[in-house]
Formats: sequence, structure tokens, C-alpha cells
Amino acid sequence: MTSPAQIAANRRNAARSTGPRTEAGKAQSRRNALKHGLRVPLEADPSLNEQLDTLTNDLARLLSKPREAVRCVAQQQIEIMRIQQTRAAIINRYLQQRLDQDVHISADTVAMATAEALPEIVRLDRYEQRALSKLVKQLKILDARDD
Amino acid sequence: MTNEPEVKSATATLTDQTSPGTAAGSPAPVAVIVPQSALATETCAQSSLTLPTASADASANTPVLDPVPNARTPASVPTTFPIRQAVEVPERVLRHVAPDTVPLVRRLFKHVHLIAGYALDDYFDLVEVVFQDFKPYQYAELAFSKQIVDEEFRILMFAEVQRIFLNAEIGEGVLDEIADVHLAAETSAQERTNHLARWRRIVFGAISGDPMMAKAVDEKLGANHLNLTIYSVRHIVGDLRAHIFADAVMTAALERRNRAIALLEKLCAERYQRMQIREPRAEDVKYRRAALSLSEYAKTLIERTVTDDRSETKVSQNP
Repeated sequence: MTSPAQIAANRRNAARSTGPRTEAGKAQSRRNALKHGLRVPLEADPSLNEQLDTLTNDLARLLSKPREAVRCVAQQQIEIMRIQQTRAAIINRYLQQRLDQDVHISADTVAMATAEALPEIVRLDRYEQRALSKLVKQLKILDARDD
Repeated sequence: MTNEPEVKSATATLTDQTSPGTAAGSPAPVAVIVPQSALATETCAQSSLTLPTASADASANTPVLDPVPNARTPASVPTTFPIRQAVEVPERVLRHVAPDTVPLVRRLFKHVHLIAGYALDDYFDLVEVVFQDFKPYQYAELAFSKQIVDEEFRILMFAEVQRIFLNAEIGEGVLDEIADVHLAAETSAQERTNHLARWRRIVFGAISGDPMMAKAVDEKLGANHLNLTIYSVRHIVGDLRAHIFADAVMTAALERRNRAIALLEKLCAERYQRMQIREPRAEDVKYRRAALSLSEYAKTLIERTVTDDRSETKVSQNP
């Protein structure tokens, strides 16, 4: 167990720490631990929130259902879309790295960039699996509703 | 190990577009031009894989393993295509859905998330095939149809990656080391490459869980036929790791696709059943009565005559 003296020493040392001081540095270090951002709720991202509202309105109009009934479905649909976008962004990042090295682009280059991106892509699968399960559940609920 | 590309590719750039939907400001996903003529030699940075080249002299070194069946290759498209751009669903796709469903289809496929190297036309080809087969009618059916298409598209992409893994040559140093153990000195380069490719497939099969392949690897390792150094093992493990990841992603995509197909089939079957055994509602009875009375009225308007056999005259049968 840490002694009070050790805690006090840690605090003193931390006060002398040279962390990021500029706004740009702080903004950068804030995202050091960011892997893919898929754990961030949709509501926390204003742009996704806007897309969610648009899709909810469209579905409510097209399906003739109340907004609250279709919102959960739209939420999962946007979630799946976000995962697909993230996957494509990861592959394209690796592809861009290859292009930056003046490598000529071809079908094989794309495949190799995809192969390099695989360790990151594998992580996204469980998010997509979960979103799909939730979508199925919400669709069943929507189907059972008699509005 | 890195060979200089022999063919200069056509212009190929990634279009960076800030995507409002991309998480945490990561670059927007884009589709990429893939000129088919620009096949060049690449070396995988994370492993010892070396891709076969399209040039004539390199073709001699290409393993003659049967490639993984791959129904589609990345298509060439003339321009880059930012994924977040809203797309217009082609008419040929809309032909296969009920007119009431068209706005839903347009909305659901408004933003297509293409994976790099694939063309929008290929995507909508798949959509058309799925729509032809399932004829989606409700929103849930459309959502599952989209899921099937997306997963199928991903499977096609990873089939390409797996094919490249299986056809890739093992790095020169590793190749020499293994070849020296297994083969006689006078073995030709082609035979040696084929032998290694075969061996590679056996190991990949063993990793993927094929008991026969695993047995073959065990026998070889047990007999100390694979006299590999740490250097070789490091490279081969790197290759295998990539192969395992590709296998995992592909399996997950297959599972999701099959699940979506099962759900969609169930929904379609339920819909057809509902249409067939639905009990008539008051509305239906009203329409049927109206139709009956209309047909009775229509009968009076039609001139119905019979010919008398004896007199051969026409006699009216109307009331």
C-alpha cells in the first residue's frame, strides 16, 4: 500500500511535470489513447446526432410510424454505418502510407494495405456484431408495434 | 527484398474529404482507383511475403498453387470516389422493388461505404442480385438485404487478401533455408517455389483447423524435417498471424451474412404466409360484394344467345 509520504512525493513530482502546455498540444495529447472511437455514444458526436435526427425523420415519414418508435432502429443503422466508415478509414490510412512512399497503386497494393490493416479491423467485428443484434431486436419491436 | 516496380501506374490519388460521420476526426473513407495495368511488386512491411509480379520474367517464380476461388476482382474506375458522397441508386436496382418501397431504398442506400479498391457499379450489381432473389418489401427486409450486400462485398475483398497470402512467395532467405532442407541441390527454382507454396498451404490449413493439415505439419515437425532458425520462424509467424486475422475477419463476415440471409428468408416466408392465409376483413368482404354485384350487373349487359338446332335461329338468353 502506498504510504502518505509517497503520495505526497508523487503529488510534488506531478506538479513539476511538463505536460502539454499549448492548446494544440493539449488537443493532440487528449487523443493519445484513442483507438477507433466506436465506444463514444452517438449522442456525444454532434454530426452523428444530426445524421441520426435526419434518418429518424425520414424513417418516421416513410414508414408512417412515430419518431420515438423508429429512433432506436435509426440509431443502430447509424451505428453500423459508423463502423463501416471506420473500417474503410483504417484501410485507406494504410493505403495512403503506401502511396506516400511512392508505391504504385494496384489491386495487390490495396490487398496488401488491407492485410496490414487487419489487426485493427479485427477489433471492429464485435462492435458490428453487437450493432447488428441490436438492429434485429429493434426491428422486431418496431414490427410488433401497432401504431 | 523490395523489387523496383516495373510498370508505372496511372494517376491514382486518394481524395481526402472531411467526413462529418467519421469518428474523432479520422480521415474520411474513400474509394480508390485501381488501374489493372499497374500490377507492381510490393513487399509486405509486416511480413516476409513478396507478391508475384505481372512481368514475364517474374511469372516463372509465381507459385502454381490453385488460387482461392474469387468471383470478382477489384474493378477499375476512372475517378476517385469519396464514400460519404450521396449516391443515386440506379434504376436497374429500383426495378426489382415495389414502387412503394423506392423512397426507402433511396434513403437506405443514400451513403454507400465502399471499401478501397472497389467500384460503385460492383456494389450495385450485388444489390441487384440480392433484390432479384428476395424482392424486399418491408424496411426490415431492406435493412437485411443491405447487410447481406455489405458482408458479401467484404468477403470478396478478404478472399482477394487470402489469395495473395496463399500465392505469395516466402522471403528469399527463408526460402533458401527451407528449400535446402527439403530439396536436392539440383531442384529448379520453379519446383522449389511450388514445393514451398504447397508447404505454406499445409501450414495455413493447419492453423485454420484442418485436422489432416495439422497432422501433416505434426509429422513433418516430429520427423525434424523443418529445420528452421529463429529468423525463419519469425517471418513465418508474421505471415501466419496476418493469415489468421484475415481468416477471423472473413469468418465473422460470413457468419453475419448467413445470419442476415436466414432472417431475411424468415421474414419473406412470413410475408408470403400472411398474404395467403389472411382472414378476410370487413373491407375485403365489402369489396368482394361490390365486385359480385358489379359482375351480376355486367352479365345483364352481355348479349347471351343460343342457336336452336331445329330452326337454326338465335334465341336470346338474357333475362
